[in-house]
Amino acid sequence: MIYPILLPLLALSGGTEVTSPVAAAHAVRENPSERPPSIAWMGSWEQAKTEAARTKRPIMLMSAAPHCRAVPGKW
Amino acid sequence: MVTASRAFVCVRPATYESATEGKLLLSLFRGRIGNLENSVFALLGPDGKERLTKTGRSPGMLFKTAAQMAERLTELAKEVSPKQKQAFRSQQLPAYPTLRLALNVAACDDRPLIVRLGTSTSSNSKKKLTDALTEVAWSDEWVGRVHYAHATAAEILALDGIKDVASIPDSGYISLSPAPLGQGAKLLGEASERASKAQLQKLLHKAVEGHMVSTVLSSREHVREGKRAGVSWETVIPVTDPGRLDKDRARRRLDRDGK
Repeated sequence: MIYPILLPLLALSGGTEVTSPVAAAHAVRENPSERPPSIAWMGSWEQAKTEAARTKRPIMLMSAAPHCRAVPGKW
Repeated sequence: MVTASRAFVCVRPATYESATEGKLLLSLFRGRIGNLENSVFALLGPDGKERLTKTGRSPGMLFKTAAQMAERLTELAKEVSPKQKQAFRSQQLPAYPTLRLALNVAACDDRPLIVRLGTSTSSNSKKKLTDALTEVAWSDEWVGRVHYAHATAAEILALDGIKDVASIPDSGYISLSPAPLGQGAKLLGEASERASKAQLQKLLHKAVEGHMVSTVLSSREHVREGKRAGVSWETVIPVTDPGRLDKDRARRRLDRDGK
């Protein structure tokens, strides 16, 4: 279950592209200026820990599984 | 929320994709049966150990609204590092540990993926920390808008959707549009190893313009689509979220794996 407050965190969001018939039926070209700013996530703990130590900044950690019922491409 | 987050180092480890990170996540939050669940949320001090708030499965366990969370983030940042001014830029490229994972995450977020090519992934990641791509990645215009990975040309050429491409250079940069299930990609653009900041910005612009986004599928539709396509994601460590496993199975798996 994805909690509602998770969505702004996880969702750099949008939709999907090309090869899937369902997705392709809705595929549109993005207007780059329409996407709001996003959280700047790092993808690994090691990188984040090093960066936090270097800059003395606190850490916001939000882990998530990049698959839904073993199907990838969905948080 | 985004503004408040800039005072933090934000990290989004992929659950079940690293044994080391799995242990860390489990130390931060355990499910009811002592298991690692699909998501973990924590606000930590700069040492990575001090807990600034309670930890949980989701920020929803700590905050009622996104606005309340943003307010608390701002307060915590002032308490922890009061002198900081918009220092969210990093000297490191925010790259995912593997191309496979990066493509999947890019598909989840529906973002293009920028790949730095090298003869080996490890040598590639050791490149000068403050290079042009890193500067662009943390610039106001591009921060958080695309994803990054290191890979070799051979790894790229093995991807579905790229196999028909005549060649991929051994070094330099390419941009990819991930396939919806994160199992392949479309090549959008290339830049040489010596590309300037302006040339890299152009690569990113073209990536965002060339990447096709679509209506978000519901989880049910997405899963149906994935099953129909026969696609399955193998995690690095076992999935132990009771949402996927019933509790008895999860407990047995935990016992078996000694967690």
